[in-house]
Amino acid sequence: MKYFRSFITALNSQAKRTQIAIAAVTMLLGILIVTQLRVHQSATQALQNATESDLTQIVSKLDGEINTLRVEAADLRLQLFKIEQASNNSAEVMTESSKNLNNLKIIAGLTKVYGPGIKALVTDEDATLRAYDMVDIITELRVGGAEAISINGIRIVAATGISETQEAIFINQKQVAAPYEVLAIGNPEVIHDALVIPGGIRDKLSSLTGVSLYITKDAEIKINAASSKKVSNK
Amino acid sequence: MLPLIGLLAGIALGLVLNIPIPPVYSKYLGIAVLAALDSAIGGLRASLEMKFNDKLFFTGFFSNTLLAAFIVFLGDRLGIDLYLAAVVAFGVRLFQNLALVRRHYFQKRHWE
Repeated sequence: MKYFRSFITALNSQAKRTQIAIAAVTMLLGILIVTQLRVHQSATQALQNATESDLTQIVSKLDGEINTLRVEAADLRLQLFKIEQASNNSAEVMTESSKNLNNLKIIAGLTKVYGPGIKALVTDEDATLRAYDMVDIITELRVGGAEAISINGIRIVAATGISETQEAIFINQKQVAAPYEVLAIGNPEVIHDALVIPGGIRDKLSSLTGVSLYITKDAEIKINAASSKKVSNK
Repeated sequence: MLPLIGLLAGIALGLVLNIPIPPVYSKYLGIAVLAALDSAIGGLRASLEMKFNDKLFFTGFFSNTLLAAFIVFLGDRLGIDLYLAAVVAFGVRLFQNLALVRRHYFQKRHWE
């Protein structure tokens, strides 16, 4: 009872203010301590509580994870490399096959052809030239590496037929008449040499009366596609 | 008596409020705890010496805390563990004040 009364008097005195002030600071102190302990605990609890073997396990686990990820990265890099290579390869295949396709189209006479070559004019004043002479000319041009040939505007391909009657020569059942304008695309020098080789086609044609062969090299020759009627039997 | 109640109320309040503070600032909070502890014990000592001034007490508490926080901040910026200075200063004063409080308590008891 005496203690209680002294407490009451203390509250009414200067001591009361002192006590309240200190109590306020200690309350703040309590809040701070709790908060700090909590922060510190949450920050360190995870690893602090772990034993040494646990930590070793964690480290080795992380190392394993790193290794797996490294292996995965290497795998993916390899895959990327393979895919890149494959795409390069397929691009190469594409260009190669389109080149082949172009060559085949030229051979089959499906496309117009431009390029250097020769222009040959075959005169036949006495109509002594025969169909096989024409075939000989074509053969010599092919020997000279001609890629595309036309006679009087008619494209000569593998399927082209040359025939003759008493009066005239027919190419693909179309009558052709002298002078024959022969166009050939290829290396002009080589084709020229193939035609003028001694004992070759020019000498042979020259031996026929009224037949002569004039050859001119040309840097730009244009040969049309074969008429589609003949080659469209796909 | 009242300070003890205040401490318990503070602890309860801290537990209830659960103030989220990033771990980065735990150093500041530790210094603040030290400053508060120093102020509390300093206030106890002053009250025992009968020269307690509540204005002095509160300004002392806040200025000490702010200065300590600034020192921690400066130490972080300079790359020096400058907060140790605050820790040492508060620590020394804590022990001194505690010793004086102890002495006063025993002297009072002795007088009775």
